[in-house]
Amino acid sequence: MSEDHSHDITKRVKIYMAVGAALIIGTIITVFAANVHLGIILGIAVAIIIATVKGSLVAGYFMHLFSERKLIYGILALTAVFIVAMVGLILLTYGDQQGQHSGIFKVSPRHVQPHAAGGGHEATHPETAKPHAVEAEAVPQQPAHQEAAAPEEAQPSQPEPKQSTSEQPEAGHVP
Amino acid sequence: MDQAAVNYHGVPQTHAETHDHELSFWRKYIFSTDHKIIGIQYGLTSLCFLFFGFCLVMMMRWQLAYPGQALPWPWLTKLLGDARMPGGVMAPEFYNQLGAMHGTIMVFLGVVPLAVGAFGNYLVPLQIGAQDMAFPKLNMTSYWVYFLGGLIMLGSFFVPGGSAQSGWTSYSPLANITVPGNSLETALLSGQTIWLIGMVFLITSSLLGSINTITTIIQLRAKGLTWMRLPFFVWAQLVTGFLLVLAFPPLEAAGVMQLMDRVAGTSFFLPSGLVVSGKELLVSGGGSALLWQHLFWFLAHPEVYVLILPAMGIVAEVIANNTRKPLWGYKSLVYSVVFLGFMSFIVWAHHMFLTGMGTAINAFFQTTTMIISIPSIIILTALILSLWGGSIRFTVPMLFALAFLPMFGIGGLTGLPLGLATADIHLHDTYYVIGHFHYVVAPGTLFALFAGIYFWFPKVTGRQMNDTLGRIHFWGSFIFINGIFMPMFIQGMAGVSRRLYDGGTTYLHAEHVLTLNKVMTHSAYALAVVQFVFIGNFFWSIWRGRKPKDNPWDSTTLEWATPTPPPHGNFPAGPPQVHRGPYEYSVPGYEKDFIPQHLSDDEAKKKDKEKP
Amino acid sequence: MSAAIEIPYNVEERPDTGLYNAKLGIWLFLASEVMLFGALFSTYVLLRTGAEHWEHGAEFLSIPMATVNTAVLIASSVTMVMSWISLKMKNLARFRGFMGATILCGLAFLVIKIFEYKAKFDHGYLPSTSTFMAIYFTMTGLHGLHVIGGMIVNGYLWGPGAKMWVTEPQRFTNRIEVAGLYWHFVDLVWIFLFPTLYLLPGK
Repeated sequence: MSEDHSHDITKRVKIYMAVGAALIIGTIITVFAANVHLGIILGIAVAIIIATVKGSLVAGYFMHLFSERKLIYGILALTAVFIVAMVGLILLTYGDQQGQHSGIFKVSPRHVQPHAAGGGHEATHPETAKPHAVEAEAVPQQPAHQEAAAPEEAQPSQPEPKQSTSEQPEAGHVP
Repeated sequence: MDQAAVNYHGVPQTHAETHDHELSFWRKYIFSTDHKIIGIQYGLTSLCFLFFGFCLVMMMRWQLAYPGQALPWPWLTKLLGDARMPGGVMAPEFYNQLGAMHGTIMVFLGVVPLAVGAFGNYLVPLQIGAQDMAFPKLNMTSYWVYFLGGLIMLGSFFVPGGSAQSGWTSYSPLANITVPGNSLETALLSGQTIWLIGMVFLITSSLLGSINTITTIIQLRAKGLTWMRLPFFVWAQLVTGFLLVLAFPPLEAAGVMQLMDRVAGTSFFLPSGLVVSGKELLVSGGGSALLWQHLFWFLAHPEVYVLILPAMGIVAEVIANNTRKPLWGYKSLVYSVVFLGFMSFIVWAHHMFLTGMGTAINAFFQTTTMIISIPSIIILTALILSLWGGSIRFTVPMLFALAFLPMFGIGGLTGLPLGLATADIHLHDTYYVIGHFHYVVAPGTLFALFAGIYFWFPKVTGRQMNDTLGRIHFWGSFIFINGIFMPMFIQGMAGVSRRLYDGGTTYLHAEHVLTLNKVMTHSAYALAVVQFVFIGNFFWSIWRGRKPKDNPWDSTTLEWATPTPPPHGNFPAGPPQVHRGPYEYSVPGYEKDFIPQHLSDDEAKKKDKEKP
Repeated sequence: MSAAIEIPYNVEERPDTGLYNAKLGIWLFLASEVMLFGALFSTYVLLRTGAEHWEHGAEFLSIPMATVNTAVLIASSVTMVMSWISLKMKNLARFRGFMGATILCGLAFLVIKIFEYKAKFDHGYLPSTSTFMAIYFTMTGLHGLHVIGGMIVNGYLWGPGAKMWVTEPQRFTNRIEVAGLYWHFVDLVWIFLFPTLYLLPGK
């Protein structure tokens, strides 16, 4: 780094102190905001926004990103793209289940043809693919479909009859 | 090479600044920070692991060709013990162990360390005119962390229950539940847990290494070595570095989470209501097995490009050199490899077409997968077109490089039906997939790596490998490797699933293609025999090989402008300055058919008049 | 043996990139860390959207303790950057003071964390209790390991590493800057971890 003159340094120190203070204030605000009942979506949004502002201050001033070289920006931009792709695409995958009964590509049930065979949708339930594929035959169609269609992707525990998965490496007859 | 105490730039050094006192044997050869020693360490270690991984699959192939029959090698049966081979016949659990570890060892302990750790470490600083990597001590650390990771992986064979046995892909919930007991101790001492710990080491080693590679290429290029004058090998290593640095961490996170699942009883990847062997699993549930697949394949897809890019780089260098003309479409190659690297991050779910994803998302990943084939084909086409009008020298490296082209072509083309979601319904998890990826990695990458070994052996050792033995190695390998993997497409299309302990004998639809198992097994054994020709040649030549001149292939790139083998610091005459592109072969107006990169026009004209 | 190896651009910046080697190296490392914690955050998102019921942090976790921890880390970030500024002002004693403060803040963070974890265990809340606790322990645990790593590096630079100030002051200053980048990143991760785990409303 090039030599800084002392008044430059004093200016920097002032900025760092100001940023530090802003971060503390941001922390206090976010804790108080959490106590106000904003509802789920607004609550999450407020928390994320405040965190992003605080994070940008740390990155921009403490980590000198606001005055950094293009190459570093490029690397970080690339990282950001891939993070968004990873989280976004995985979420979209969950939102687009076969049969389109749930999530963001949800199709209204009256537009969907009922399947002839049993567990087409059960078989592709994302959380519990294998164990439920077999038992779906035994369950009457419509109620099972409604369960699978629950948008929050319910984790059925009690009502579903249990199925065994075969555990290949049982105990230790291999040393 | 004794020198006065001046530094690289000719400035006299104080005693405190020089390092030219003799280093001990340990600091010079074992814990060396010199990229060339480290490259050799990576090379020898990875070749050992490749051999070991091959041995594992040879045992599997016996079982596939002669299911249920005892191994005809009693010494081997005795060594493996009754638990793994009851009555000399392979236990199914052991078959699964071999399968999982063959994949893991070949990919993470064999090919990547050889392609990136060995070739990358040794050649990148030389080809860019640098004295060493940007962070020599970090480089040394990377190697030893890899070594430790390898030992840990090998150690997993010896714990109760054996090694990991849920595929190299370690899908949950199967990988979660393979615990031979219930206590923390048995959870820790189980093969899958040790696999996860080993992976953490290997991932760390890769991360540190790739940071080193990228920084070196960006920061330490010699004067005059602009981006478009870089040898294509260096571009390939740069993109590979970015793939490793950005794609590996999600797998590290997933590995930590699977470790927590196994050891701390969490349910990151275990859904609610899972029943194992008739008993409900006493975990909190609420996890997602698919999450593991997403995080795993987020790495593992870029990983396969890590496997192929350095190989393409090597082939490019060997082809340019042995056609005595510049590569066709250098710019296309560069833009394609960068675009390929970028796209490789957004195609991963084509490994998950059959997990129940909806048609919209399937269409997305299918589209990106089709798009990524374009830069791949551009690179292959450019390499093939580079042959046109060339004065082809059929040296041993060139034979391997030439074979790479159609082999990678087959591998790549057979990937297309797999990348199309509808066709994949039929082909997923069959031998077709195994045939596809082995074509790309075995007669693809491995052949390119062989080409590289034969090509750079003179520079590293100061000796040349025997030519006749090299040709025997090439032809034998080429014939038998096709004998192993071509029938896999036939079996796959007939519907034979992969990871079947009995090779498909229990399935009626596989009956007519089962004899191919014997063809493949015998080809594998023949391939192994041929490799001994290579191993013998390799070691014999180190001590008794013919001694060539410094630049035996008359090559243009900077690594050939050093003494042989290059000393500590690489360029004793000072940093080279680059005046021209990397493939100035057969330049009109010159007697000689090549001009090294570091020669200015005046120097080139002068050298041209010298006797060869 | 041979000529001394001197890697260029360890201290001075390379003209066309404007960076010295370690700065590029640490940013690449931080990019990989972004991917690492990003994968964990995406796990949080997925587990949460897939769950029927998701706890509000305050049900299980101590918000006061975590708020104090947040303030502690913020303070440590300020002292860290001040330690670097002190070296720019050629004041080794000040550097030692601020770096020492950074290390102490890190220690305070860890001590509070230990109390937090102990309180969880005493109440019978383990990683295996629920996916919320699982992701809580994993994310804060991994973050804690990163804090420990940072403290070890900072401790080395405060102690034996500071000898380099005498022989190569510019290179030492660069080392502090690079260590600072890492430490700020650890703070940055916590700035996102804190609201995500402790403050977000449940469902």
